[in-house]
Amino acid sequence: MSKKILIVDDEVHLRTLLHQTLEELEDEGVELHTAANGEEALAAIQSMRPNLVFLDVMMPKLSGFDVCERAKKVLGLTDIYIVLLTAKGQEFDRQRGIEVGADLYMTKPFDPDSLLMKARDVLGI
Amino acid sequence: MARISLKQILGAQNGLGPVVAALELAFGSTVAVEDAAGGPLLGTAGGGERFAVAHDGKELGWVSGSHGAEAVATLLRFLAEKELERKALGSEVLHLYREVNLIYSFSEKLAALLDLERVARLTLQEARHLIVATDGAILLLDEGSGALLSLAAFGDELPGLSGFARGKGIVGAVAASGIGEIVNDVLSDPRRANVVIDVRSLVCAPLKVGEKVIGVMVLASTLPMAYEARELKLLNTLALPTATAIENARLFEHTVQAGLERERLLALNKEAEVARAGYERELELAETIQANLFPAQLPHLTGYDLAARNRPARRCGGDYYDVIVAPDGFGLALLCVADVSGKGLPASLLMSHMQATLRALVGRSGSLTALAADAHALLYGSTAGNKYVTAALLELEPVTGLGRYVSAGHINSWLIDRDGVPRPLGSTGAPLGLLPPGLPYTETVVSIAPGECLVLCSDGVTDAQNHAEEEFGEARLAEAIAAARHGTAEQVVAYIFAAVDAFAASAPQFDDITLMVLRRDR
Repeated sequence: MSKKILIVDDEVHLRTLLHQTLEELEDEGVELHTAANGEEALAAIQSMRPNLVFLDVMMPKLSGFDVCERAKKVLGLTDIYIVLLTAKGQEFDRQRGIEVGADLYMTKPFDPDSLLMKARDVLGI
Repeated sequence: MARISLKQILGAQNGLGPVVAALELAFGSTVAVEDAAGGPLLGTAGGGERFAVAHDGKELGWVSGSHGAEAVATLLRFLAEKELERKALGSEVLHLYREVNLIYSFSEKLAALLDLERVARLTLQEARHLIVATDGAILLLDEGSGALLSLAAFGDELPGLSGFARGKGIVGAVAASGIGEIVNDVLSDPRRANVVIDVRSLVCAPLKVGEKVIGVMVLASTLPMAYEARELKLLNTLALPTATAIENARLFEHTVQAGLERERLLALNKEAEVARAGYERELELAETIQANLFPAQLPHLTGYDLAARNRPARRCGGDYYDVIVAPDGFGLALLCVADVSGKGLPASLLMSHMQATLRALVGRSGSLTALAADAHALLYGSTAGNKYVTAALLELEPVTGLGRYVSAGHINSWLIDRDGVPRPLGSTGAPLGLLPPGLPYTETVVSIAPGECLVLCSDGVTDAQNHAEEEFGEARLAEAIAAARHGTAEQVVAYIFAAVDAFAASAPQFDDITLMVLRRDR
C-alpha cells in the first residue's frame, strides 16, 4: 500500500509550495493529497489515513490544533505523524501543541530541504 | 523536466470522472483509460479504438472505446500539457521560495555577526549557494585612497590579489558608479584592468549603505558563463544586508576601540592622579624644607633695622635669604640673598645645600671672596652641571658700617644715600657651582652711613611684569626705595612689594620675589 502525505493549508500558494517541495516523493510511490481547510482535512484523514500530515495551525473554523486533537484523541489515529506548521513570529502555544498530540512543529517560511528530509524520515524512505 | 503520469492527472483533476461519464453519455458509448503499462485507471477496456495519450513523444497512457475515446484522449493530452506547465511554474515558485528562504536565514545569521571577516565569509558562502561561480571576493573601499581591499575571497584567481581601486577596471567601475554589472565576456571588455586574472565572466554588485558605496562583491567564473539579470538581482539582494552588517561591524569595532581607549585614558588618568599625589607630597616636603631654611627670626644688629621677605611665585620657589652672625666674636654679619636654579624639590635641596655651605664656611674662609670661591667649589663638586646659585653677599661690620660685597652672578643690589640717590652694586663673579672652580671673585667695599639703606633682592622684583609684559625694572625699584627710605626696613620692604603689585596689577607673578632691606639708623 502506497504511503500518503496530506498537506493542509488554507492558503493556496502555500499548499502549492508544500506540494511542490514534496513532489519528488511521488516518483517513489508516495501519494500527495491536499486539503484547504480543517473540515476537508479531517475528512481526508478519516478516509485515506495518511501516514504524514503537514497541518497549518491558523485556519478559520477548525484550526490545526482542533484537527490534530480530533484525529489523535477523538479518532484515536495516533500512528499518523502530524507536523503543525506555524508562521514565524507568531506566538506558538507549545503546551497546546503537546496537549493535542502533535508530533512536531515547524515554522513558516519553511526550509524546503528540511521539510523534505523530515518527510523522508517519517515515511522511512 | 518534470514527470507526469495519467494517474496524477486524473487524481489532480478531481472532476474528471464525471466529465468522462458525461462524454460517455453524450457519445453513447463507454470509454476506458489505462496507464502506459496498460493498468486500468478509469473504466474497463472493452474494445473499440485505442488512442495514445502522449507528450513529447512519450506515451503516458491509453484511451479506448467506441465513440468519444479520441475526444477524451485529446482532453487528457491537453490536461497533461497544462499539468506540465503547472509543474514548471510550481518548480520556479519553489526555486524562488528557496532563494527567499536562503536570504531570510542569511539575514538572520548576518544580524548575529559583529565581525567584519565573518560577515564577508558568510556572504560569499551564501552567494555560492545561489550563483554558480569559481571565484568570489568582497572588497572594501578605502575612502581616502580609493583602494579596494579584499576582506574575504574564494577560488584560485581572486584571493591574494591586490591593486583593485575605485574607477579602475570592471570592479572599480562598479565601485565608482554604485551600479551592479554583469560581464559575461571579461576578456573583450575594454575596462579589463588586471590581465593576470584568468576570469571569463563575472557579476559584480556594489555594497551600499544608503547612497554611499562602501565596497563591492564580485562572483566570477574561470569558464565562460551566461550570467543573467537574475544572478545580479540575487547578488544585489545579498549585498544590501551585507553592507549594513559590515557597517554595523565597523561601528561595533569603533565602539569597542573607543571603550578600550576610554579605559586606557582612565588608567592613564589614574596614573596621573597617583603621580600628581606624589608630586603634591613632594611639593609639600619641598615647602617644608624651604620654610625651614629661611631664618625664623632675623638677628638683631645694633644700630640697624633689618627686614626681609620672600614671596614664591608658585608653591615652592627657588629664592633664599639668610643673615648669619659669625661666631668669631668680632660681630661681623653675613647678609645673603640667593636665587637657585630650578623649582620644586630639587631647588629646595639645592637651597638647603647652599645654606649648609654658607653656614659652614662663615668665619672659616679668610675673606668674603674666599668664602665665595669655597662655596663655589663645594657646590660645583656636589651638584649636577646644570645646577647653580646666584647670590648677593654682604659681610658687614656693624660698628663701622663698612662692608664687603660680593655678587656671584646676582642682579644688582642697591645702596641709597640719605638724599635718595641710588647706587647699584653689580656682579663681581660667576654664579656659584656653574663653571669649573678657579675663576676669581672680587669684592666691592661699601660704607653704609646712618640714614642710608642697602637693598638686596632677587630678579623677581625687577622682572615682575604687568599685562602689557612690561618689566618693573631697576628704575622703578630705585624710585620705590628712595620714596620709602625714611620708613622702617619693614616699611621699605612692604612699600616695594606694594609698588611691584601695583605695577603688575593682576598679572600673574611668574618668579619668586625676595627682598632684604638694611637701614642704618645711627
